[in-house]
Amino acid sequence: MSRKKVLLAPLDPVHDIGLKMIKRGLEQNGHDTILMPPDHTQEEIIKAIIDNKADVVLISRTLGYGVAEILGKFIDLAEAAGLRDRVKIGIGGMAIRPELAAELGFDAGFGPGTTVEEAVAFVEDREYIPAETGVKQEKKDITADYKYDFNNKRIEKLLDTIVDGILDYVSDKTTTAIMRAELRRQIIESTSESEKDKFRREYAKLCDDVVKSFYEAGKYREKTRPLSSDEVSALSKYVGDVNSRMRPMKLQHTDKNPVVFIQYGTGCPFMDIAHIKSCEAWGADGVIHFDPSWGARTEGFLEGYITHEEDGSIITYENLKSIKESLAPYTLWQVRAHRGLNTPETVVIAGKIGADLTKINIAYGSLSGGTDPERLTVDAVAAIKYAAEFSMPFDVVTNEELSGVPAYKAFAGMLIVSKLGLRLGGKPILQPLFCYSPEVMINGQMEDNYVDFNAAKIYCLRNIVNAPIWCGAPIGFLTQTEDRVQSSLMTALHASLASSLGVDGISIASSDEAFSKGPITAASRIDTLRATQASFRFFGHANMEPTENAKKWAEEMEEGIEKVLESVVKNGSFIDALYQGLLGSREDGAYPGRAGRNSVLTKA
Amino acid sequence: MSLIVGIAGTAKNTGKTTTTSAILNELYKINISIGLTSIGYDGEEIDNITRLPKPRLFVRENTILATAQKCLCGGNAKYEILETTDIKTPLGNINIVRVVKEGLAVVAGPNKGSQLRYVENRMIDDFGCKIVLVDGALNRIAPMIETDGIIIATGAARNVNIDILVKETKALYDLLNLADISNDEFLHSVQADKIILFPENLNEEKKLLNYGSLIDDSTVKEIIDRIEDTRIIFIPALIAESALKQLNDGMGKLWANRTLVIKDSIKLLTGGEPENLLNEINRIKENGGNVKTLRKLPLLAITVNPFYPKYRFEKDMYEPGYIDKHELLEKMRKAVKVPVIDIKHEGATTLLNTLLACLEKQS
Repeated sequence: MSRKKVLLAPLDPVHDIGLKMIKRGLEQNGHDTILMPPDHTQEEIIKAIIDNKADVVLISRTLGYGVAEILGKFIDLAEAAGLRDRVKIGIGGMAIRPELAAELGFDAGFGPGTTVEEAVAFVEDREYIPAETGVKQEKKDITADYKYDFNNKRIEKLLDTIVDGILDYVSDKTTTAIMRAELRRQIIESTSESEKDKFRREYAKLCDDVVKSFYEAGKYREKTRPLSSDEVSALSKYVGDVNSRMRPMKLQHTDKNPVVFIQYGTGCPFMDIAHIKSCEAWGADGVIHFDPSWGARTEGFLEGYITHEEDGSIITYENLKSIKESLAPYTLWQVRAHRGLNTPETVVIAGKIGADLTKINIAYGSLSGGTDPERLTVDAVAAIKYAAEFSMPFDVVTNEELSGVPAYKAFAGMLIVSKLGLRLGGKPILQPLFCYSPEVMINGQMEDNYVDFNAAKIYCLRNIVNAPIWCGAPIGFLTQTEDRVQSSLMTALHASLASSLGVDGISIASSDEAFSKGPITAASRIDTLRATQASFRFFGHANMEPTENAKKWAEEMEEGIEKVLESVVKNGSFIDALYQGLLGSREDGAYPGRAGRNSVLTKA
Repeated sequence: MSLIVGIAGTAKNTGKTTTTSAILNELYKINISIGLTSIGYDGEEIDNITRLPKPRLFVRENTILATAQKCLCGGNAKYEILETTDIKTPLGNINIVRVVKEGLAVVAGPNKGSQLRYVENRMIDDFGCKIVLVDGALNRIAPMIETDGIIIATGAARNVNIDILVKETKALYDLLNLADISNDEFLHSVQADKIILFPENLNEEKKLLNYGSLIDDSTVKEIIDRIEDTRIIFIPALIAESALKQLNDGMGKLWANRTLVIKDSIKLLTGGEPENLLNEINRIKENGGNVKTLRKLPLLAITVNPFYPKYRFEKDMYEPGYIDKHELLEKMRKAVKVPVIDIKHEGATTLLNTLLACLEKQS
């Protein structure tokens, strides 16, 4: 490669930062550079090109109407001065695109996002191949560094007693959901079509009528339809095309920044994948599958590639597989199984396809998710066993707080299910809400700031147990205003607070999510991801500092949890405690679910 | 015989592509082989800067196009590639293609004069084109020297004041009509790329300066310092308005019986505003001097466009605006002695006749 003489000239009164960066890059690559100060006339730049015998000229200009003519004139001057055949001329600026550079008569155009390396490649007459720096290539296991040691031994002992009771209770129980999960596994694993059909017939007998009529008469539920083969192949082509063009960015600025999850579930697998790819490109580390709310209240799953007119993407083996196949290899994928009548089967399908994470919580699912506490307890034990078998960590979400259940009660339920998970060989992840919950609206803990009470939750959980924490869901929820929905700034500040507190993961909303009166848009998702990235960049290793209230409230929360657990032990039955409201009462806003009531069976 | 016609604009949105499109349509009616290229990116649906819609070129079968690689899949015309050239642009290498299925085309041809010349030669010599149209870009004019004649598109997008617009166009017209040196003058054989100062006796030693362009103080000073021994100043490259003014300020009456020879009017037009340049040329003449060009580029016609993109501050966007087209046409026609056409409303019949007359003259 020959050494080039490069003249860099801002055709602007002031802007030349980009040129200074490129100058440094060119010099590091052994080229001679001359950087002209700003505010020279075009004729003076032409003369400098001649005087310096420049091989390449890089012009920078911020573009507005009329300025295109100035740049066109510059090229004409170079041509009339006889320079165009021996001097390469490139133009850079925020509004420059290749089409505009071509229209203006330049040899290359460098728009926003241009790297120094790209400009160097132009100078050296070689093709620019973008470097893969800053792109994550590995999945992060957020449970890896945790041993789940309990610091609060009294709480651990109470939890063990409760877990003993649960395991004892469920030991001779089963449900149709557990039977279906095993049949689903056989359908997936069988290689014989006739055998699969035999399993399907058995499966259909264990389902609600709407699912039964799908298997027996090929009838689709209302507002659902199968995707055509053209649609399925178009989807695969779309994914291939996007993957070939995608250069994903990284959200984290330091190692302590948490992994960032987004949620999807438009109903349409194609749209879901488009959202996932957009979020991957803008740095999301993980994605969470949302299924329709009716799915939680229906016994049995459908099969095939199915799209849904309303929110929530239908769980079928094929739908989830197409999502899995669209994911970048480093993207974490969670399929939620935390509520509803198909919890064990959800974990089986997710596990067989290779999901990284699932979500299980008996307390939330039965107090705010609509499923009968007894039914969900029996199903959840089976589901946790599958999660352990497929090495899928699961978060234990405390969204019952959104119904008004105080954090200490929700945490008591979360810790019970976590301890149950540990006993069954699983890897639970604590998922406290990190938002403006009804409890604090009523009791005023967030009147001054959003920091202290959220920090108190993390301090409290860390005081009790050494376990991974994933804040949700989504962080900053219920901070909406009518004019701004949930602002990206609010999400980003919550993300940095979570990072300050050393949590492992966060789930974020899109700035048009909730009350947006329409579908979530990619632009809003990107806005929120960018804001999160900017906030991580802003704080780096610096931390937010809560007031002394955080520690005080953490202690109060821990005492509250202990008292709740004592009351559950005293009650003698975890399931009965759920019905009685010990882990969230009707006064709090929690109502034991009715879906699947009286459906638990005693094993033969 | 063949004819290469450039369509140059005085600004963006003055109607270059509308003019090119109208000429194309007329040419298709008389069944003549056509080559088409541009010195920039034209044919895009939306203007790159104002975001207003722009006309696209509709090309018929057998038209020969020169356009960049990435533009081949824009539009809906289909092509047979005749040559992939080594000419690189930000939109990929230039291809010379034959239209095999008519449709809308995106034309982004070579933007340097020398590359344009190569493409034109290939179109005429090897692919049989009788007429080659070169669509302009923005206010660019320099590569147009590689044509046989130009049509200038001007209008409200350049200036919404009709009187100023007419005055400026008249200046352009006058500059393009500067006298050329007669055929027997020896300067035709000069191939220098530097400024030359010729003495009274042309057989005596001439002085070659360091620059080909007149763009700075030191060159102006050097010329004035040597003016006593100089009869002809030959400038082969760019002439900047500011430097020419400086030269005039220094020369004054010294211009008497001296001649400034420029390579072509384009080298002058590139360097400044037409009215100011014409003013400087007239000063030379008033002081007894002469101005000639080595090569004359004929101005074939002027098309005018009353449209301009009107900026609406309150909306932060552009919307269509118009000036009085009757007044514009009347005043422009009085000012210049070439056809003046409102292409959008009058069509290109007059233009076609002008081009055919030129083609006839060439043969």
